[in-house]
Amino acid sequence: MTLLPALGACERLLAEWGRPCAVVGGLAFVARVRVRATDDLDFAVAVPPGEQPAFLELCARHRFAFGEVDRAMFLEAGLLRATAPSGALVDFMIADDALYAQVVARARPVDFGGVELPAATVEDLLLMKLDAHRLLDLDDAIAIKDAFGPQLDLAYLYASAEKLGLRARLETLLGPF
Amino acid sequence: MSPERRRVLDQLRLRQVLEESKLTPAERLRRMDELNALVAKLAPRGPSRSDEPRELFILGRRTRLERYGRAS
Repeated sequence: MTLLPALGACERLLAEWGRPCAVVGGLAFVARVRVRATDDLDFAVAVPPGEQPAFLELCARHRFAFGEVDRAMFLEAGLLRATAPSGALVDFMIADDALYAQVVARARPVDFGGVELPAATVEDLLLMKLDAHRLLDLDDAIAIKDAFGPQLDLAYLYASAEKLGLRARLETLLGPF
Repeated sequence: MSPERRRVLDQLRLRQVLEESKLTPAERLRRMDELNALVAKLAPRGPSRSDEPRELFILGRRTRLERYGRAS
C-alpha cells in the first residue's frame, strides 16, 4: 500500500476542518529527517471539547472509513483510526495535551510532493521521540541528532524538555546545556 | 560483534543518515513508498489494524495529560 496518494484526501479534509494540525509520527520523520518504512499516516489535530462528533462527521463525509469501535475510541481516548479512500491507514490524534498542542502550534508547511501540509518541526519530533521512548523512537532520536545536531534550536529544546520532564533523556542524547 | 566491525557499521549508518537528510522531503517520501512496498512484499501485514494495541495509545495519552497538563 502506497501512502502518498492518501495525502491529498487528508489535505482536503484538514483544510475544511480549518483548525491547527500537524503531520507527526513516521511520515513527519521521513519528511524531515531520513528514509524509513512506516505503515500509516499520523496527524495531530486540534479538536475543541465537544467537537469530536463534528470531526467524525467530516471524516465520514470525506469518505474516511471507520467502525463503531473506532468512533468510541475517538470519543473516549482521542484517537481515530480510519482508512482513507485510497485504502491507506490514517490515525488522527486529538492534540489536547500540552506537548501535542505545542507541536501543532509550531508545525511548519512541508511539500510532500504536490501536497503541502504542516509537519512537526525537527525539534518537536525529537521531543515526541523522547516522550514515547520506544526502541524505534530512540533510533529516530539518534538519527535526528546525527543529521541536525549543530542546527538544532538547543535553547528551545532544553527549555521544553525541562518543562516536560524530559531533560534527563535529552541530556543523555545531546549532553548538558 | 567486534569493536572494529561495530565502528564500520556505525560509520556507514551515519553516512546514510547524512545523505538522506540532504534530500528533499518529496524525494525521501518517494523512497519511503518504495521501501514500504518492499516491506509489504517481504512481510505482508496480518489482519490486525496495527501492531500497536489501542491500550498503549490510551495509556500514552493519559500519561501525557497527567504529566504535561491539558492544553490551554
